[in-house]
Amino acid sequence: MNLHHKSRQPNLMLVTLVALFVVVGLIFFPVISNLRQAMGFTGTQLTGFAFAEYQRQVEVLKEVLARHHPTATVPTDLATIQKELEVLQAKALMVRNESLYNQLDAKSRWLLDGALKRTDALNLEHLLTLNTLELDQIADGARAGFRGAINSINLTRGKLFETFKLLTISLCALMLLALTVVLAVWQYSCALRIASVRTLQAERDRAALEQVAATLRQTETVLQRERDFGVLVLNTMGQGLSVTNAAGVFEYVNPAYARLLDLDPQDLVGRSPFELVPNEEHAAMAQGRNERGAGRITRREYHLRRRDGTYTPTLVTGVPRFEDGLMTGTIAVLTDLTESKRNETRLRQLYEIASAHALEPERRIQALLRLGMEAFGLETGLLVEALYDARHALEDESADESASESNCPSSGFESHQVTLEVVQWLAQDGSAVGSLEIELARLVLHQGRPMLSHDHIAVPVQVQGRLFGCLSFSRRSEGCDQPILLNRYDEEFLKLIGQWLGHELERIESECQLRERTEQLNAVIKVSPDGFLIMNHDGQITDVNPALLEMTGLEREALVGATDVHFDIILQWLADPNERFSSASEANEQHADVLQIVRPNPRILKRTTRAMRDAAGLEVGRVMYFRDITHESEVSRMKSEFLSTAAHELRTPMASIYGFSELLLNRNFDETVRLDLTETIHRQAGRLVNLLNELLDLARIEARAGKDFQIFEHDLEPLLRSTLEVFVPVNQRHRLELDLPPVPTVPLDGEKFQQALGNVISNAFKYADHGPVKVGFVMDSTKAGRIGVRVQDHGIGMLPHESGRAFERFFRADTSGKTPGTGLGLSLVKEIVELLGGTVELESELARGTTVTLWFPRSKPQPFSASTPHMNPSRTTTVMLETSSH
Amino acid sequence: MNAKILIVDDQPDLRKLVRLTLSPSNFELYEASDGLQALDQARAVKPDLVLLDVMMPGELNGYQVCATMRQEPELQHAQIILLTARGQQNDLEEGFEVGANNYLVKPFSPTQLLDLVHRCTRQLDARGV
Repeated sequence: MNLHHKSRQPNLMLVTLVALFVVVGLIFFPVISNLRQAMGFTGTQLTGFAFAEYQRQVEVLKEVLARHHPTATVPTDLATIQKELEVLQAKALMVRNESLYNQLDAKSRWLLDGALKRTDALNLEHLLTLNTLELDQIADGARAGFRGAINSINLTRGKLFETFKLLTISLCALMLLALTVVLAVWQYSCALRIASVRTLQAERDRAALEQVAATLRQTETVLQRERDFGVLVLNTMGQGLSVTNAAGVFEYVNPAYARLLDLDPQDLVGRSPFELVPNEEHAAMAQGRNERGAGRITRREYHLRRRDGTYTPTLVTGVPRFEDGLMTGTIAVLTDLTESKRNETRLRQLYEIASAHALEPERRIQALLRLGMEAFGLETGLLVEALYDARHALEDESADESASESNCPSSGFESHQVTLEVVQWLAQDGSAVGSLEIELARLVLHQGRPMLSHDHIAVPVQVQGRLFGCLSFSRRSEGCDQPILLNRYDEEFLKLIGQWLGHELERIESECQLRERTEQLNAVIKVSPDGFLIMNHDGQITDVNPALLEMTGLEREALVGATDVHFDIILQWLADPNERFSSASEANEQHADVLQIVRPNPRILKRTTRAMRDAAGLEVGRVMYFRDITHESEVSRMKSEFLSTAAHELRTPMASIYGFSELLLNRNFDETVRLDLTETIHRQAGRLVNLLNELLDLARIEARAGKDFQIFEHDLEPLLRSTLEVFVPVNQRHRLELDLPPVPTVPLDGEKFQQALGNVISNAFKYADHGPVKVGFVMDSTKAGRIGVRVQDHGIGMLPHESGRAFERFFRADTSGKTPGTGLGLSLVKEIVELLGGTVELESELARGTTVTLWFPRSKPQPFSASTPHMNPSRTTTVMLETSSH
Repeated sequence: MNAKILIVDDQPDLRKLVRLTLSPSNFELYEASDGLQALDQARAVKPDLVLLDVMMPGELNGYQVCATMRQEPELQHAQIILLTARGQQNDLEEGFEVGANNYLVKPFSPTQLLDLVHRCTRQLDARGV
């Protein structure tokens, strides 16, 4: 049809063109002829110029002639007339030559001809004689001619106009026609085009349809392929897949499903899944069904019965099928859990062993080995430790290399450098470890990575990042064709056992270290002279050290288990009731307070409390640390006491001296009184002098440290006697009891000796107001050559702890103030005696008396140099007397 | 009316000093050599003024005597002047804490002592004891 149209179109075109030409010709023919005619006109012709001129010239001539009339004022000359006449005749000629002349109408032409003829016939003489009538006739004729020309012109113009009008009309008509034709043609061709477009569209549609058909065919092929693939998958997939219908029975069961239960697929089709599970799981299955009905995907573990009646654990994932909103069945996928269940069991067993804290480590290791043997079905288990000196060197090496296995270094030890020690060996048949297993372990250690061979499996064991040894399991039975098969779970399990072992060994090591550390700490605390007390976060005392027991005088049982409140009560009971101190429960971190206790011994204790915190910063308990600062306090107290006492001692005699002397100055007393007062002043002054001397002596001796001692051999007896003379008041001499056996001479500084002994004797009489005072020499049998000078009184004596401190500077056992003293006396004695190379001993019993013995060596003593300060080990401070300040 | 003055000091020389200082004036003088004695005398005599040493041997020192006297209604009226060698700030404070009226540090000038005593006893006169 297309082609048809195409061939028609040019034909049509041709016909139209021809028609057009015909029409044009028909219309244009007269038009053109008219045009041609019109074209014939010249410019002058169109305007009739010649005629006008001719006519005008006639008039001119007439006028000229008229002027020539004799009556005219200015006559025109004949030449002018002649000229004008000639012009007229020329113009007449022109008229004749005009083409328009031929086109005049008959009448006009006849008139014009008449005029022209006459014009020709004119001459000058004629003219002069001519009457105007003749000229008028010419003029008329000219005029008629002119008019005729104009008419002709008008006629021609009219014709032209008509022609143009016609032309315009015909053009319009032509255009209209053309338009119509074009329109028609166009419409027709449009129709044709539409038709052709439609055809084209139809063609295209057909092509599209063909394509769709082709695609459909392709899809079908693909679908077919997929269906085939799907079927293949269903048939070959390891997991079981079943399709149940709305009734809940199997529509389809894939081979794997059937295989799992050792059945054929046909055995299952038509049966319900409920038949496969044990009764106790029916409820769960029903619930699953309901859930799927609600559109959910279910996931449950079921036990499915196999052909032989045993049950196998599976994980069933069920997806509901829906059609038009109704459930039409389920697609279920099965995963066999047998392996993973077994692994679970094994892991649980492993965990139980690992967390059995009651078991000793050795037993735990054995249990782990046994578990491994069971899990892998092997007959022996072995754990060896690698003892190796250059272990560390290799460890550093292997740490640099990137390890492919998670924990193991990529290279192990050089096998010849390692000594293997069997930590644990188990064999089902009870046999001993063989060299084969040992060598295997060595190999594994060398490689540094797990190994699986025909009869053995082994993993290296790491403890705290270093290669500890090797764990292996082996098969003993010879001639087994099948190598050991380990699945993924088994491999993981083996590695896990290795790791657990590593952890276990680490833990044992850590425990050991911890125990050692604890032992050390305990030893330190036990030995410490300072008291330690530990409370838990409930405030209960959990531990105390021996020093604390000694300080408090309590038994361990009394303190351990007591609460902090209880402890406060204890402290209060021990304490000086006058003193207040903060309670144990109040004592917070870093709190230090001073406790003054009187029981069992008066002591001053400095207590520091510190909270023990765990990693999170929570308080888990408190530690109290008690330090005996009695001595320090004592010393500081004594120092201020001493100053106070010294001040008092010095001031008291001064009071008398000053007072009495003022009285003597201001008043008049009689002689006796004056004497008495003066004597008092003198006496008190003397006392003051002694006191000052004592103080200065001590200071000097301390400062000089015996450098100015003059040592000579002395006979003791006379020295003693002279001392007694000086220091024993006359009225007391009767109390002296002397025991002076012969003794050899002793190197001494006589003066200092007297001073020391004098002090001792003064003390004896000071502190014993009655009873004998025994003074004598003693020979020491044990320490060869020592000679002692002993003074014994039966006075007030001292308590044991006081006698121990008697030689302390400023120490006064009797603080009642009854007996004056600075507490310096015995220190002075001690200082002197020790500088003389001897020692001083003191024994005392309260209310019984005191015995002081000064021991002197027989050989010449080495004077102490100033650079070795005399330090008494138990009294650590040396207090310098501040003689300048006060 | 003569004021009754009790002199307490363990040192006899000091008691003598005070006695001699005060004797020209018309006072009734009593003496004690330790704390207990002092209290006994005080209760017996009811002195108007007590010159009390602080450092004394025995069970009671001067402060304690002072404190005790202040607690007994019959002895409360007495003026107490502490005589002592201890002149530290805390000693003075303690003295006033136990209720002493005044304080003299040894060694003291007898003239000063006399002045002080007169002043105290004049007060007594003014009070019309």
